Amino acid sequence: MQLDLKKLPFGQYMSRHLLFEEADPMGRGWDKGLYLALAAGSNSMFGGFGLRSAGFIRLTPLAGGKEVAGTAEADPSQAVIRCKGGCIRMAIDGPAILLKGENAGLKLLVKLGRGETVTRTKLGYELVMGANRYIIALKKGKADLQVGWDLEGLSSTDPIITLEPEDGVMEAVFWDTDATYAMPEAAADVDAAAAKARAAFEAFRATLRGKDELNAYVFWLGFMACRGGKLVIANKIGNIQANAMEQALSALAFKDAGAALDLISDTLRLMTPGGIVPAWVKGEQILPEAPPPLWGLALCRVFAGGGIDAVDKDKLAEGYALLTKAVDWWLKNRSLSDGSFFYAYAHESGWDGVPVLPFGQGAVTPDLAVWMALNAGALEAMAKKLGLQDEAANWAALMQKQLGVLASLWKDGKFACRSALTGEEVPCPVGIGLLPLLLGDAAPGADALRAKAEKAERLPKEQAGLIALECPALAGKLIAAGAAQPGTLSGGAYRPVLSALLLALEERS
Amino acid sequence: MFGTGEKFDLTHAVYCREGSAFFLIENWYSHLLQLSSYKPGAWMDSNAFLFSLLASDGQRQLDYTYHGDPGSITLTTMKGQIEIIFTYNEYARVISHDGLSLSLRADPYKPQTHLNAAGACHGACTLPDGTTEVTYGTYGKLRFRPLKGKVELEWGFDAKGTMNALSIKMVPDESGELDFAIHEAMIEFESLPETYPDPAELRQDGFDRYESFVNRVYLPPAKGYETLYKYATHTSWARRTKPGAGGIYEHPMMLMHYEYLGEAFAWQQSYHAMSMLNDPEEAWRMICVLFDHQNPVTGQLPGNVGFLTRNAGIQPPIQGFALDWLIDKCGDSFLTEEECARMFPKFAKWVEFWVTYRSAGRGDDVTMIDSPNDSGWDDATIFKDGFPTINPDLMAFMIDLLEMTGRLAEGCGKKEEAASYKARSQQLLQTLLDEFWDGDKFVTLHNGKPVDSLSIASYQPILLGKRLPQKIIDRIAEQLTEEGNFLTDIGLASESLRSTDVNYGTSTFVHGRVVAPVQLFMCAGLNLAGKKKEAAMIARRFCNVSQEKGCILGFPPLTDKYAATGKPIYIAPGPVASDGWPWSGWNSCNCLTLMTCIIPEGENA
Repeated sequence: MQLDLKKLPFGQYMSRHLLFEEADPMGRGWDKGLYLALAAGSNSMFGGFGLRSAGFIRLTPLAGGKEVAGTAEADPSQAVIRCKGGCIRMAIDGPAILLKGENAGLKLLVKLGRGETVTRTKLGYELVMGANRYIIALKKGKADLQVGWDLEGLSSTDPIITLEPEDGVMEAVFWDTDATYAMPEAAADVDAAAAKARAAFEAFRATLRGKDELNAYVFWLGFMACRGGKLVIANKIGNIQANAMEQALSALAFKDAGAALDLISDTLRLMTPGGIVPAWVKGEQILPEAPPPLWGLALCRVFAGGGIDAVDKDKLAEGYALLTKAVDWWLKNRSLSDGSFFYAYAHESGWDGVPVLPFGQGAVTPDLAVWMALNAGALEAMAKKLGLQDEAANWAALMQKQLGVLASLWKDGKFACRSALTGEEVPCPVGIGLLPLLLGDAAPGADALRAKAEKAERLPKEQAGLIALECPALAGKLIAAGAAQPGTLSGGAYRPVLSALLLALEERS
Repeated sequence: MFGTGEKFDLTHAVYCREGSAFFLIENWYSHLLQLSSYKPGAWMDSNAFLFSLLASDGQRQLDYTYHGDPGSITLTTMKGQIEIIFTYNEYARVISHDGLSLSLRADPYKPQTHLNAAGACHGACTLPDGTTEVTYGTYGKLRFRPLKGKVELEWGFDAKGTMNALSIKMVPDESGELDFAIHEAMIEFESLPETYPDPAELRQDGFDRYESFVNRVYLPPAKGYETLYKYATHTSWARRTKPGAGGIYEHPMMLMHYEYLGEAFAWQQSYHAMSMLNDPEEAWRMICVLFDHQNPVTGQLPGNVGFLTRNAGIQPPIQGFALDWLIDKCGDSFLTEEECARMFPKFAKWVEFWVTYRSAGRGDDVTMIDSPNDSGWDDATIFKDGFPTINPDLMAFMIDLLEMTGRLAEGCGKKEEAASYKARSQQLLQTLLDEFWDGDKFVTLHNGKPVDSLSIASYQPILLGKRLPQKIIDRIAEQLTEEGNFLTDIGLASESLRSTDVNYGTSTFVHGRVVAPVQLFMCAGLNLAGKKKEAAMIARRFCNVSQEKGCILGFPPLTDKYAATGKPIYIAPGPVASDGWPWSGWNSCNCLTLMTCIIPEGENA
C-alpha cells in the first residue's frame, strides 16, 4: 500500500514524527513541498492548524551540494525521497526518525516561532521549541547551519541546515525529545527500523474487526502517548487532542476484548479526582467537561459471546473500578430522583450544535439513557466475572431503570427529550432518536427505528456509524462511501476515529 | 486603596487579594469593572473569560463608582451599594441590601473585536440543587449559589449556533436583599459549603491577612516612601497564591500579574525573598519554593509555575545570589541542619543541570547558553550576534550558586562536598576575572568573540560584591553613577543612553528601558560591594518614579527622542493607565528591597 502524502502523513503508532507533502489545498499561499512535522502542541506556535502549514522543516534534496527536484513515496514502514542520481530513505522508530541518503543530501529549511531557537550543541543541531527539543544528529556525512538572530523576537531567524553525503553516504537521526533529552536506543539503521515498523503494523491489524489496510493504517497512526496511556489523537497533523468520545468509538474497531478495554481504561484513568472524564486531553491541558458516557458500548460488544473470558482478571478488575467511578460521577451530578440521567449542557451529548432544550436547562434524552444502560450492562458482566454478585444485581437494576426511562420518552412513535428543570418535553433530534437502536430489540419501537435508520440522511458521521452498527443496509452505504475517508491534509484532515468506525462496520455490512 | 478618583484606580492596577483567583479591572474604554480569574493564565487582551459588571435597580442600568481595600470592593450607585468580597477560599461573596441587581455580562474585550467572549462559554445550566453553573471550558467554571435572591440568564446564539451573548444576572429577593456566593474552579467543584461565614468576618479576614503578612515579613520603608510601601506591599501580598485548591502550588508562590502573566515566574520567587528581610525563614522558604517543581531527572527548575502547568522554559539560577543576600542582611540562623540537609541535594541537582546541559565544553563550570531566557537578559544587546554565548552575568549567578551549595553542604555536615563546591566557586570567579573583564566591563562571548554591546548586563557581576577586586568595583560604580551613561533621572537604563541600538517601546524589555530588576541587581551589588551610598542614590530615583506612577515593571527613560540618534520614540498607549505595562509583583518586590534596605543602609552609612 502506498500512501498519498498529500492526504495522509507518513508516521507511526505512538510516534510524533510526521512526513507529508504540503499541497496548500485551500489556496492559502502556504509554501508547497515536503515537510517534517511533529504531532505536538508546538504546532500552534507556527500559527496553528488552519492558519499555517503544520510542517516546521521543509525538505529539499541536494545532489552535489545543489538543490534538485525530488519525489516522495511512502508505505506504513518507510518513506523514500528520490532525486536525480540518488535517494534518501527514512523510517521511524518511536522518538527517532532515521535517514540514509545515498548520493543525496538534504537541505532543511526550519520554520521557527517566536522564542524558538536552533543552535549547534554536542548532541547535534538542537531546536528548542517550547517544551520540545528536536535534535538533528548526523551519523555520517557533513552538516552545516546558517542562522540569524532576532533580538526583540527572541528567536533564531531563517535557519537552514544542510546534510550532505561523504563518500556517497549521509546518515542521520532526528530525535523528538524534551527537556530530559531522553533518547532511547533506536534501531541500528533505516532497514531495521522499517522492518520493525512493518511487523508492528501487521500485529496491530490482527487485533481489528476489519481488514481494510488504509483504514488500519490511519487508525494505527492515530495512537499517541498521552498522560501515561495510549490514546487515539483526533489528527496528528492538525489537532492533537485525544477526545474521550472518540476513544469510546475507536474501541469498537477491536475484536480483541483486552485491546478494547485497554483503550477504555486508558481514557478513564484521565478522570479527575471527582470523577469527570475530561472531554479531551492535549498534552498537559485537559477540558474538564463531561463527554457522553458511552464507555459500555464497545465493552458490551467485545464481552459478548464469551469475549470477556479472554481478559486478564487484574485488567478486568481495574477497568471495573474505573468504569464504576465514571458512572458514579453521573449518578452524583447528573441524575434526578426518578432515576433518569440528564445532560447539563448540549456539548455533554457529544453532538455539538444540537440543542435539545431551551438554554440553561438540563435535558433527559434517549441517547443518555442508552449509554447508561450499556454501562450498566458492561458493569454487570464485569461484576459477575469478578464474583461480585450483589453489585451485578445492582447494575442489572440500573439497566432496567434506564429501559424504563427510555420507554417514558417514547411518545407517538418517536422519542422526546425532557427538561430536567421543568419536565417540559420537546421532540428529539432525528439522529439522537435513532441511537436507542444500539440496544437492539430492547429499544422501544426497534423495528420502526430500523426502518427510519435506513432512510436517514445528513447525520453526523459518527452518529451514522453508530446507528449503522445495528442497521446493515446503512453500514454498507457508509463503507461504500468511505465516509469521506481519508480527507486531504491541511483542509479536510483525516480522522482516525472514522477509520475505526469503518473497521467496526466491516463485519456488520 | 484603589478607587474612583483615588491616586490609582483600576485602570492602573488590578483589584485582587491573597489566595483568591478573582480579579477586577476597570476597562480602559468602557469604564465598567470587569471580573476574571488568573488561573487560566490568559492575557487580558485575549481573555474570553472576562465579565463586565452591570448594576441595576430592576428597571435600568445604574452608573457606579467604586472603592476597594484589602477587605472588599464596594460599588456605589445613586440607589445604593453592592459589595464584592474576594475570599481566601474559592469563592467571592456579592451582597447588597438596596434592591440592586448585579449582572456579569460576558463581553469581548475591546478593541480586540475579533474576540467574542461569550463564544468561549460552553454553556450555563441551573442545576437541581438551585445553583447555576457556567462553564468556560479550559478557562474554568463558575457556580452561582443564591443565598438571598435568584439567577436570571440571558443569552443569544448566532446563525452557526455559537453563543454570542451571555449575561448572568443576580437578582435580589422580594425584600431587596442580594447575597450570593460565586464559586470558581478550573477543573471541578468539590462539595459546596453547608454554611458561609458572616460577611463581616470575610471582610476582616482580608485586612487581617494583609496586615499580619506585611508586619511579619517586611521591614519599614525609608522615610518618604510610605505611599509606595502601601501599594508595593499590597501588590506583593495580593499575588500570593493559595496552595492546593485544585492546582499544583504546594506552597504559596508569588504571581507576576493577574491579568497578563498570571503565573509564578521562577526567579521572581527569589526576588521576593530578597525583600522579606523581617522574616528570613519566610524569605528562605521563597528561595526554596521553586524546588517543589524541580525536574527529578535533569534537576531543571521550571520557567514559571501556573495554576495547573509548569513551563518547560528556564530562568537564571538566581537562588545562590538571593541566599547570599539574605545571609548578608539577616545572618544564617534560618539555615538549620535540617534545612541544609533538605535543600543541599536540590541545590546540587540544580548546579548539575547547568554544568551538564549548559556546559561550554571547556571541562570546567563555565556555561554556554542557546536562548536569552537562560540569562534573563531577553532582548539585551549582548545577544545581538545570536547564540551560543558565554555570559558573565550568568557566571556570576553560578559563582554564588556554587558557593551557597557549598554552604548548605557545610550546614549538614558534608565537609568534603562543601569544600569542593566552594573551590569550584573560587575557580569560576577566577575564570570570570581572568577571561571576561576587559578593564571597563565584563564581556559576553559569541562563538568565542566579544560582543560589542552597551548593555548594562555587562555589569551584573557586581552582584558578587566584595568578592570582586576593589578596582573592578570602583570602575563599575564609576560607570553606573555617571549621568547620561546608564544613570537617568528615574534610575538605571538597561542600555546606555549613548547606544544607538536601543528601543523604549512597550514590547521591549531590557533594550533600553529602566526596569525594576536591573535596579535591584545593580543596587544590591553595589550595596554588597560597599558602595552603599551610590546604591541608595540610584534606588531613590527608581522608587520616586514608582511612587509617582505605580508598581509598574519599567519605564522609558526618555519619551521624545533617543539620546544617541535623535530619532523619535514611539510608545503605544493603553490599555492600562501607564504607557502599556501593567502593575507587577516584579516591581513591588524590587521596590520593597530598595526602600526597606538599600536606601536606609545607604543613608545611614
